[in-house]
This record gives sequence, structure tokens and C-alpha cells, in this order.
Amino acid sequence: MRRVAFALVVHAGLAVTASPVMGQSQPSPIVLDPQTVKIGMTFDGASIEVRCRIPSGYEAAVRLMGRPERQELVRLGKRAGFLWMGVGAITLESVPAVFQVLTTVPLADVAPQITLAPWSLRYADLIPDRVLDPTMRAQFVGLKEHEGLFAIREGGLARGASVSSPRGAVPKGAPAQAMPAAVSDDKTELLHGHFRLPAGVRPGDYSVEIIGFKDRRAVRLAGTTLHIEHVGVARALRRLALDHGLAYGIAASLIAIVVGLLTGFIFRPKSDESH
Amino acid sequence: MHLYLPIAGNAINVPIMVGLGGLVGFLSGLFGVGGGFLMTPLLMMLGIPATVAAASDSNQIVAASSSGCYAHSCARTIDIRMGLFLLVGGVAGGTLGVQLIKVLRSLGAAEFVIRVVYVLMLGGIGTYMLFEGLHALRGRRKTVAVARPSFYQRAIEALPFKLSFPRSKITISAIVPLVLGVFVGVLAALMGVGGGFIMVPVMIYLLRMPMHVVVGTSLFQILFTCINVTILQSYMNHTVDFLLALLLLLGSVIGAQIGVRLGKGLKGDQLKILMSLVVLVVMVKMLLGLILAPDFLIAYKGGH
Repeated sequence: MRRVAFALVVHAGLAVTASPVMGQSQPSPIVLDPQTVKIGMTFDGASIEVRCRIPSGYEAAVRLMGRPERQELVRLGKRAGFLWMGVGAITLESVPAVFQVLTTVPLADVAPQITLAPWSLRYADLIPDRVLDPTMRAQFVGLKEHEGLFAIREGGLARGASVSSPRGAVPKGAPAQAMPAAVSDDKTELLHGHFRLPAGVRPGDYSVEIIGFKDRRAVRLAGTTLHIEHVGVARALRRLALDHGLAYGIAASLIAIVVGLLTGFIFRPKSDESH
Repeated sequence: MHLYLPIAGNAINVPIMVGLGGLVGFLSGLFGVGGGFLMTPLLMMLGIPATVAAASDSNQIVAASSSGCYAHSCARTIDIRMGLFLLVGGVAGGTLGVQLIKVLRSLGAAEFVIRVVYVLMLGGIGTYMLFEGLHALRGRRKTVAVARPSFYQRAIEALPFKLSFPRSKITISAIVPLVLGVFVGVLAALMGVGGGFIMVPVMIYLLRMPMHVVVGTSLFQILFTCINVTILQSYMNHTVDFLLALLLLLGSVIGAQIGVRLGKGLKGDQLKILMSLVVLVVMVKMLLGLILAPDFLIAYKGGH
């Protein structure tokens, strides 16, 4: 029995140590640089380079998207004839907080031949008319674009290796399992582009997917995950504030009192100035 | 040079925030006011959500009023008994105000209500200060002597639970400072202010306290009201950004010292008119935000 248990442990250990090797032999067809965005005290937004290899002859789009979530909004309108305030609630049940798309060509050019709706590459597909009327959708999208969370950059996905990081070419043969079988490894081309995330982006896992367009059909070529996480002091402070609000409030008050008393002591009036 | 604020969930420019603290501290040192009623609207104009701006400003005021209390306690110009009554009311009012913000956030109306309260308070105080300053400059002093007690005086006299406050040399019903404390406490939570700009005239005109104990007692009450608001906002709404408060504090400490030194060389009435103009400019900016069409006809419920 002990031998069996020992054999299982050894087997599991081998499997763990072998996994990176497996990863090297079958690299991802899509590379993000960085793959993990760390929100520290100096974080001021991030630029994420995406590099991918797709079959020759394809046009493509890369979509960065957060998990669909409930968004509670208010519709602004005039009250009493002159005051702008919330006049009604709007709840969107499953809309991502972040939605960015880079494409090689304008989506309008591929739309006539390909049904794009299931791929959620356009705002109207992401938030259909039945969920939010076009006027309010435009307002919502405008708000999100203003915050830098939503963006569609047609032509933002360029062919060729990135100038900024020539090392970044995705290894040949990488997307073999994802590409249509008719395309051989050497008939591939590189694409690159940048997603720009604002400082207000929330931590979490965001999906990044490449969708290829050819011959009146769209194909999911590959996908990966972008991780965004708080680190260091930012993480500790946030955890303290959210998980231990009372302790955080007491600590904030105590530190403020100490700073205030020190300031009062340092700048105290001299005895001859006090009257 | 940017710093990420973990609670506000956004990055800010450090020199701008320290500079803002310095500017408000300078004005507060120059004009002898707390400055909280200017800080929160200015933070909102710089893109900090109203709820975070108000809560973090309360935290900053804790430090500013501690510093002031230290100086006044050295000079023995705090009426602790009166301060405690105002404080009990202030803590109750602050608790009420924090609950009110919670409800308003759930209704998606917190930002609107905070802005409206600001416009009303800044408009009222700014106009009053402007007219008072202009009157004083013209040499017309108000005559407060009246033939018989006013309705207010008779009403206050009629209230039960009279107590003596030796340091202020007054005898008044305990209900008055308690109710006034509640009023200031609600404002402190809603607006992120200490309430000195309301408390000082209230003490002078309504409580008839002598001038030399007014500022110290006001600071004493503000200190504890803002500690209560800071802790409650942290616990219930998670809207206190300590780093933001610290940056503002750094600037305001230095600015206030410069303001105090500069203010000594200026005339009081001129200062009052200048201050009223600053207050009215901020009020007009906030009012425009309420009456001009917003960039987008949609907003997040409860802020970010």
C-alpha cells in the first residue's frame, strides 16, 4: 500500500515538472506582453502588446473582454426644468466591464459576408437593441470609451513582427491545433497590436481571443487569459480597507491624529507670539 | 509622477494633489477657516468620486483639527463641556449622515445630493460673507441691540435642561448644542467637511459664546465628529482613501503655515471679500455641473 502511495506521489511530481516542457513544445499561438498586469502603487494604466500567428490569407480580430457582469446604471435627465439628475435605473445583466477589439480591417468590410453577431465584436452585438435601445447604448459606450475601458480600433492589429519587440514573434507551428487543418505551419503570418488599459481597470481575469475571417466564415483561432491583480502595498491596503474596514478606519484616524499633533507641535507658536 | 489610490481605484498626479492640499491649506490659513468645504468640491472637479472625496477629506480634517486642538489646548481656549455636548450631537448626526449616504448610493443619488448640498451651502455662506465684508468696508456696522428679546432668544430661554458652561460664561439648554451638533454631523458625513464654517457662526450668533473659545471648541467638536465619520465611512461604505488624505494633508500643512503668515499683513474685511469670491466661484462651478447637460446621459449607480 505504501509502495502504491509512493509511486503515485512520484508520478504526480513528474507530471508537475514535465508540464513546462509540454508548454514549450506547444507554445500558445497568442502571446501577451505582459501576461499579468500588476497594479502597484505606481500603476497608471497599462499597455499590453498582443502578438499572434494566424494562417495566411485570413483577416482577424483580437478581442479583450472581462467576464459578463451586472451593471447598475442611472439614466440622467432634467428635473424641475433645469437640474440634471438620475431619473431612472438601468440594469444590464451581463455586460463586461472591459471590452476592447483590435482588427486588421474595418469590421464593416467583413460584415456583409460574415455573420458577426455571435462573435461579439461590435457594440451592437455586445449589447443588443433588446437589452438597451441604441440611443442609450451609444451613451453607455461613450461613457465606457471615455473611461478607456471600451475601444474598437479597426486597423489596430498590424501584420508583421512588432518593431518594439522583435523577439516577440510567436514560434512557428504554435497554432497548429487551433488553425484549420488545410493551412500548414509555414503558411502563417504574424500580427501585433496594443490594448491600452486605464488606471481605473479592475483586477480579474480577462479573456483574449483571436477570431479569423476567411471565405465567408469566422473561426476562433486561439485564446488566452490576461490576469490583472493588485500587488504589494496597494493589495494590502485594499484588503485592509475592504475586509477589515473598522481596523482600517481606526488606523487611518490614529495616523491622522499623530500627524496632526506632530504638525501642531512643530509649528506651535513661540511664547512671545501666542498673544 | 503618479500614485495609485487603492480605494478610489484610480491613479492621481501626486504634485497636483499635494498642490491642491497646499492651495486649500493656504486659503484656510489666510482666511481662518477649515477648508474642508473647498477641498471636497475641488477633489470632485479633479475626478475623484464624490463619496470617496467626502470620506477622505474627513480623514484629512482629523489631522488638521488635531493640530488646531493641540494649539488651543495649550492656550486653554477650548470649552470642553460645550464641546462634549456638541460632540454627542455630532457623532449622532455623523452616524445618521453615513447611513443617509448608504441609502443615497443605493438609490444612485449620492453624487447629486452631495452636489446640491454643496451648492446651497457654498451659495449661502459665500453670499453672506460677501455682503458682510462689503458692509464692513463701507463702514456700516450692524446694530445688534434690539428693544426686546427676539423670537429665537425667547424660544431658547423656554427650553428645559438648562446647564451652565463656565468657560463660555453662558447658561443654555443642553438641547441647543445637541441639536446643532446633529446638524453639523450630518453635514460632515454628507459633505466631507468638519463643519467649522457653520459651527463658528452658530456658536457666535446662536450660542452667544465668547470669541476666544469659539474656534478651539469648534475644532474640538470637529475632531471627534470627523474621527467618527472616518471610521464609519471606512466600515460601512469603504470610501476612505487614506493615501489621498495623506497627500492632501502634506500640502495643507505647509500651505496653512504660509497662509497664516501672509494673512497677518492683510485687512480682515478684504480677506472676507476675497474668501467669499473663492467660495462663490467654486459654487458656480458646481452649479454649472448641475444645470449644464452632462457629457453622457447615463452614469454609474452609486458612483464607481
